[in-house]
Amino acid sequence: MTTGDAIVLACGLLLSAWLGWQSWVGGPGGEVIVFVNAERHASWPLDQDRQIKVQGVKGASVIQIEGGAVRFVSSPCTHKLCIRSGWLRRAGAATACLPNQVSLLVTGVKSIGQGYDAINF
Amino acid sequence: MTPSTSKLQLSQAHEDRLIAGFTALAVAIHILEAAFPSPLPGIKPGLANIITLIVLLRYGWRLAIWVGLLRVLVSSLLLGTFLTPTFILSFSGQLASLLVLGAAWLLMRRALSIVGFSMLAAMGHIAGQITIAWLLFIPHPVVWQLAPLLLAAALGLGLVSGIIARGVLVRL
Repeated sequence: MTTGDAIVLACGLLLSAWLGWQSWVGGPGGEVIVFVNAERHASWPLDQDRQIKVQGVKGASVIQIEGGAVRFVSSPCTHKLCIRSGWLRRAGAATACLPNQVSLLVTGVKSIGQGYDAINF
Repeated sequence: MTPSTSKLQLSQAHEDRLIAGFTALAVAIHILEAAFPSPLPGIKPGLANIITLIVLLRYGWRLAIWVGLLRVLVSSLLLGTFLTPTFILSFSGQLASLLVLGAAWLLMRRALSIVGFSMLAAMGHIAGQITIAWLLFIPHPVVWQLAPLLLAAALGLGLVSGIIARGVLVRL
């Protein structure tokens, strides 16, 4: 194993670690984006509790936002894997109901414009 | 198509025979490997790449491209996945892998051994597959959450393939 090989290995490990950090270490969730048929359907902030009905290809999925997290409550699929994936809380977290073509993606809190009600300079 | 007198030049017929033979070997390894289940979808040991790497180091990049692409094509015909999404991913991964190998061959040939080439080829392969999967099949940002896991697995398996390839190369 030459020095060049070791450098390739080290760079590969660093790249994996950096990508892992980017995707998996998210911080608190600020907003959930609902995708229907792989297109952005709606987005909702996570700070207000609500229940939303989303129409997918097989029927209506109900998602619930409560306490800064979001989850599927009901869905017209057979295995209910979407419901069983539980609460999504951190930025970058995602789940989907594939038979119904509905998916959720949590994005982070935007520091300007969303985290504050008003900013005065 | 007269045989060349120079030691470095291969005649067309001789080159064709080399490509055919190495491709057949690579296809055999690929098919055998397809019989084993993999722990995660889309992750394979990729042992057929050993042949591509040996061809690269002994006969150059051009022959390696022939062997690599032909192997993917013929294997997909034999396994019945030709022109399926599997084939599109496999082919684009192989293409990306060969491009990375070509760049490495041009720029870093003296610094790397076959193990380094193997790791670069594996990472190029998975990067090409993730990109095509994101562009064509799953245009959802969650694909990039899989990227670190797949890349790390590719790096490790590339290392293993490279070590095996080195063992083969010293005995040839």
